[in-house]
Amino acid sequence: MARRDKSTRRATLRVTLAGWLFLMSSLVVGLAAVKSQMPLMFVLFGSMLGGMAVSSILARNMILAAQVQRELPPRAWQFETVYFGYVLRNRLRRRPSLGLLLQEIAPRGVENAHGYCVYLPGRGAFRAGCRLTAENRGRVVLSGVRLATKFPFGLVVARRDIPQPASLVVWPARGRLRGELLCRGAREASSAPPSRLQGGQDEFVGLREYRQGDSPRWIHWRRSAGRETPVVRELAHPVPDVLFLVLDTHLDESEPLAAWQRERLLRFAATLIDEALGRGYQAGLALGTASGPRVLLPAAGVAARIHLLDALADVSDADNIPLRTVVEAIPLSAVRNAQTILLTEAKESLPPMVQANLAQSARHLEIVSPAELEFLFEDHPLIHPREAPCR
Amino acid sequence: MPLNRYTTADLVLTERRRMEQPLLLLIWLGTAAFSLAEGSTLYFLSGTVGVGVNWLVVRRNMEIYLHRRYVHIGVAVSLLLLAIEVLYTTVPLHVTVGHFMMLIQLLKLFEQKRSRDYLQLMVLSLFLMVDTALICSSVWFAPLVAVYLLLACYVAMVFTIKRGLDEAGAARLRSEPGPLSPRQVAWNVIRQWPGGALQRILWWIAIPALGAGILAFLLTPRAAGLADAASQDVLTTGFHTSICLGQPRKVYQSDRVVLRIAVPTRNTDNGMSLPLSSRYLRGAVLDQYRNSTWKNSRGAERYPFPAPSSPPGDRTLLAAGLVRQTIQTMTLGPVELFAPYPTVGLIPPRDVKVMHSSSLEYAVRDHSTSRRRLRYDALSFPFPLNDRQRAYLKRMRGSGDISGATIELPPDVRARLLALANRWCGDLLEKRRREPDRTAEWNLALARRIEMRLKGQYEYTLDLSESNPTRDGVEDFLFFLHRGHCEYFASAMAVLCNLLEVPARLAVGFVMEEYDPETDEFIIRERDAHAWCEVYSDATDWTIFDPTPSEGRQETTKRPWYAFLKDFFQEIQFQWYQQIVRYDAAEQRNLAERTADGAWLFWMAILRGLTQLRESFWKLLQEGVVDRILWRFLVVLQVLAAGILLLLLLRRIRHLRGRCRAGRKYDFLLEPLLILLEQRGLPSLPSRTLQQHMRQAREQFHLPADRLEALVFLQYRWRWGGQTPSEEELRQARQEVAALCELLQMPSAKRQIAS
Repeated sequence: MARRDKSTRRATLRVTLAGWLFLMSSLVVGLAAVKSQMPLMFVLFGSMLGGMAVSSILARNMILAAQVQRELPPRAWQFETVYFGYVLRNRLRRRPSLGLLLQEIAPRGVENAHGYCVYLPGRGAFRAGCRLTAENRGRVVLSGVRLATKFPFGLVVARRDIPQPASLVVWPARGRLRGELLCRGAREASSAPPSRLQGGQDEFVGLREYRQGDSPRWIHWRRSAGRETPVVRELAHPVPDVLFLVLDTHLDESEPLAAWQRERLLRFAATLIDEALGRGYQAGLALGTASGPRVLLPAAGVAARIHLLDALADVSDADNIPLRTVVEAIPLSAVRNAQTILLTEAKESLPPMVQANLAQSARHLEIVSPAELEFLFEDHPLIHPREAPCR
Repeated sequence: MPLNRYTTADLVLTERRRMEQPLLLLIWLGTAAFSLAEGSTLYFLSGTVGVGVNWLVVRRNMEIYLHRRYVHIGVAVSLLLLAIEVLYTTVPLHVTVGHFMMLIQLLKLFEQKRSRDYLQLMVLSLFLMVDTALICSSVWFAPLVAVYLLLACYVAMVFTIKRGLDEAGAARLRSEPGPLSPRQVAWNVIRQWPGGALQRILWWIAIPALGAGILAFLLTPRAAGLADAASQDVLTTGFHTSICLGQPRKVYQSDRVVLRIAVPTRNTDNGMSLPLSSRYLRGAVLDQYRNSTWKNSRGAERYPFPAPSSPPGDRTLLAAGLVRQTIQTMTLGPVELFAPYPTVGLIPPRDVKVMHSSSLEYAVRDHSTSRRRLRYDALSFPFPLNDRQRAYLKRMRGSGDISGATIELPPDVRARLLALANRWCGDLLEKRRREPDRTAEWNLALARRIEMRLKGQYEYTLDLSESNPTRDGVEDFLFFLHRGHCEYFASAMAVLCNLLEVPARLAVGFVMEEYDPETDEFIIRERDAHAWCEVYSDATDWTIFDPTPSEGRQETTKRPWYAFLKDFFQEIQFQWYQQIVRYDAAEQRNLAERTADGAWLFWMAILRGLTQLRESFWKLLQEGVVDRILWRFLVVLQVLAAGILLLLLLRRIRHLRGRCRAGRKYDFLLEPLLILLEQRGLPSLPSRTLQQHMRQAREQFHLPADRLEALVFLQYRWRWGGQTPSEEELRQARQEVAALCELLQMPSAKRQIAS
């Protein structure tokens, strides 16, 4: 049997401001009792002190009796409320716990609305709802849960830190696309609107004569009735709409707004990916990481979404790889039929060869710089432009 | 005065009713205690009305409040009143502050209340109670304090929960446009109101807290000699050092035992051999009658002589022997000590100093020592006194104690009384005038005549509700009422005697009547308090005359049906005074010594018992004999086992009763359905309310919308609206839930058809 970690079973007691005032009042009552020698004053004095002591013991026991388990989703959007729950269980059979306050022990940048449980009966369980908002993109490490109670009188707060490490991947904040950026590639390729079909269903193209190797199931028997050679239905696999993002993570040290602009590009990329996947696109991504270029081939579905957004969340200052290296790592098949969008801070200084390579292989290439984002993208309302560092 | 009505959602999250109702009761207790202790009916009534109005409004889920401007004006007026009371009256400061707090509390009751206001009201109430404890140490206040502490603990607990709910309700993240809806917050933080749990926790807190209070009372350093600081209410009742006649009232006499008297020299004849004079235990002598009131003209400074603590040494004085009476006060005595006339020796406890007056009244010198139970021996001469004894008494008294009482009457009353006395005793007065050398003898005869007339012509009663306070008390008794109790009879006799120039005075004390053969003692109760007349003559010294008819006295002392309650309260009051109020440094020391001795004796007894038990076991093993100690041990073991079994049984019964009652309390009706939904992959999330959750279930599993809505509505009405559904409704709802569960277990297509 594993030994129980003593640190998790330790509760700290702290007298609140109300508690200090109450203590001072008790002492005044005690002094008045000694001065007046009135019997009930002594009883009041003792009861006040006794009440405070008992409340401390009670609060401590309630905290120690409670067990907490966090139900946290693994991923969240930056600046969006994450609803999650704490499952509280009372170890004791008889004694209930009341007024339990739950708070995340989180790094700066995570705003947490405290969870609260009014009543946790003996041997009972309760699911307390809680919510948080992450203000920074990336991986947030939540080290544990702080359980506290001021019950019964609010004079003493008993606290216990329960280590429960968890990681939350915070995706860049979602904004709003201003233009129909995603439709551009399709319009330029043909006059037809982009296909809305999903799941790889085939489209009917027309009839043709039977060739060797065709499946007999494809024969259109009614049309073939008056002919010498049978005709078969010709079906075509619709080419899915593909969005491929190439993200320039290279930071120009001389540019003071480089980091801010890159964050903005990341938010744009996240919004674009979310929007594209929502419309049934396949989305791919190429970007530089500290270990080298990373290419996520176009794919659709929940898993692809997670991979793509996780990759955006994980971009760090160390990912300082030149765009050229990244572009060279992209397989041609990935961008052949894709609407490719290159997101770079340095559009002017883009190597011509990179641009030419991408333009040749992609169905359509769009290069977006931070300056153009004003027309294409509206940032999350909580990211105020004033928060941007001054140039 | 606006009225604010709260929505159901407000009620859910703010728990106003649960907070305000006990708080109002708490405030009322504080105000009532203070105003009763201080004796202010106005404050009591205003506090009661203020709390009552708030109570009615709260019960209707509303709030009544004044505009803040008026509240501020009220506070300013209260401050002004405080300043006036401090500067221009002699009311103690803490009472003045109490008045101020009462006014502020009343104002705050009619202010729009937030959590801060609740806290202020609680603090004010607590301070008011502390203030009351400073001015009152009566026994009735003790249970009030206990109830107050219990209620205060409960209110503080509810308030703490309410504060937590308030914070949860107001919490708002940057990413949210505003706080969540109250229902959503409530869904995340509370399932049911922990009323039962709070009550249980209340006891867990209150009992140790009260225990701590008692410990503080016992162990905190105390001053010495607290007895004088206490109230006079619990002193020996039935006896007063002044008498006021003419008040229209009914006199109630209690059966409380006041004195116990042992007479060691008495024969076994139920005390019949005791001289009559020794049955009258005198406490005080009153020699001034003015405005229907008897007093002692020398007041409290009338005890100049130290009491002789041994009998006179001259044997001739003791020719007829001395009557020795051992008197034990059963209540807290006044300064005066009761002893028969003439007591010539009084042996008090070693640490008590006793003085006597020229009238041979005895009193303790140090007032604080009189506030405890005393046991003393009184040595008195039996009547009739011989010459040497009378001479001895004269020496003891000093000079000038043979004059009668000073009687001050209005001239017309004096004339009327004199006329009556002359009519009754005209012949004896004539004889006295003719034979001046036998004045002493005729004086006694006059006194006896008046005594006989009073006994014969007037009735004894304790109902004096018809007496007229505008008349002189004696006049009213003799000419109008024709009935009264011992004070009236004795007063009339003393007044008439003095008008006829017979030296007489009033004596008050107790008369010994009840004899307890079991304890071989006389028992004196409160109802034995008595007043009689002492008449002086050179031949007999001061002689006792009791003009009160004994027959009527026996009949009229019937106790009312509620007398036992009064006796009980008096006994509690006495014990309270004896054990609590006068608990001082000496008592503290005594208690510590007694506790240490008791603990040591207890430990020794345990050791002795264990040793005996071990020997008994050896005896059992060696000789096979079960001795008495072993039997006792087995009996104790069996009793313990039976007790434990009984406790377990009671717990079981309570548990079963609790389960039966649980059906009537709040019950989560939809729980089976929620469990089933969770199994089907739709868990209830903290971000969704019950209504939202059911909506999703309806869409996902094609459940009937109207039936689910009705169930959710019933659940909400019960939980949040506090309206318990009827048994029929509950039965139907459970059936409905069961039907929905069955529906959910059907295949999808079939379910759609069924829906």
